[in-house]
Amino acid sequence: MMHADFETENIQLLTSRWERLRAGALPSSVGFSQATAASLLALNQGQVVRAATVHRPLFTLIPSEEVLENALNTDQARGVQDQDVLLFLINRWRAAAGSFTFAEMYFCMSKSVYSLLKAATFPKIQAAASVGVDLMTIGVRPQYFTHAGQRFDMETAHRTKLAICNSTNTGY
Amino acid sequence: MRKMENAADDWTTNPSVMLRLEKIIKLSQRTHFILELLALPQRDISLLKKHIKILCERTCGFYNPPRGNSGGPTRPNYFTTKIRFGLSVLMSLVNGSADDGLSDDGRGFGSGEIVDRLVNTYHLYLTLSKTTPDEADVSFEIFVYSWRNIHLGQAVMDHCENCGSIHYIFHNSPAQGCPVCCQLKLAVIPKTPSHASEVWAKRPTAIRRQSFVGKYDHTSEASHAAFA
Repeated sequence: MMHADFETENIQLLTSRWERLRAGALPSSVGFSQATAASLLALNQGQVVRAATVHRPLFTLIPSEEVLENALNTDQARGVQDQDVLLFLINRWRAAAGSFTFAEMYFCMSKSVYSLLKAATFPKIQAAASVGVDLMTIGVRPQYFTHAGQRFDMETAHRTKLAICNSTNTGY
Repeated sequence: MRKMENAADDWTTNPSVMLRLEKIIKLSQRTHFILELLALPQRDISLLKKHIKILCERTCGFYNPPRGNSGGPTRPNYFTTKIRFGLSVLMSLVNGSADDGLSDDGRGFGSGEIVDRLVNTYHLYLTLSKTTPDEADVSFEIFVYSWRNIHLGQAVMDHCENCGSIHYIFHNSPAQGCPVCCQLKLAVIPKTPSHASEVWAKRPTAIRRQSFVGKYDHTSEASHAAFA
């Protein structure tokens, strides 16, 4: 997977959530905390795109593996396919088709999630995207958006390092 | 004697160890460091040297190992802001995975999975930094020693309120501030009105800027006199 794929995913997911927040959606409905929503709403569209242009996925899978397993094992699609969730799942499914090292390093995947996605077929991924459960969560802290969005002179490599240091997966 | 030779040959016939060794020598060629990292017996040091030489000549084309023990970062002024920033990125990458069961069990680097993860993390760091092992801010040896020190409790994990980053405070480090804010030159974002006035008071003033310009301005007479 190339860096451009991370950027496409980040821009699409973050921009759609920013638009929903601006339209009056509650932060919890897009999977954000109050602080994350406040820091994202303080940015304009160009700044949101700048914050999303990073060589690292800003969204991660939800910690509960059971929810993902249930979503993948649904018999048929129940509702409308969520395009954001579909893109998110396809990228991880493609990563799981490769080596575990890549999936672990770039997508913070555990071995159990890796084997779940590796065993999944494309129709299962499509069905999981239409279950109606939000399978992703934001993987960086709220301060990231303020600094990465508002600093116009920050290089992409520096934004990537800032996103890595801001990762919520580090267990702090 | 025959038994000892057989024991020494154990790891040389193990393909996973040899593959690991091949990966490591691209990052560091120090014999004592590799011996410790791969948890090999001390008596095999000359055998390890031979293998490193063979592998180096096969992969890199030359063999030029550093002398002596590195000993890890022991000097008090070692942990500069640049190195602490690099270590923050590396440690976040190592701890970023949700996979569990890969903690140090106190026996050193006996587990091959830990070594693999450290090597892979360092390769990712080099890719992100667009640099080579020789030119990187944090060498592989320093990364491994710092990772061990953190697991031994010789460093404290800290969270910066301003940028939200995770960084580590080493006991022998003179700099204790956030390396991410410092290295990326992030602005201080005030949280409360009193904090805002504090930030405003600390801003660079016009007088300071004026004195700076006067000192280094090539058009000023003082500068000409200094360089004449």
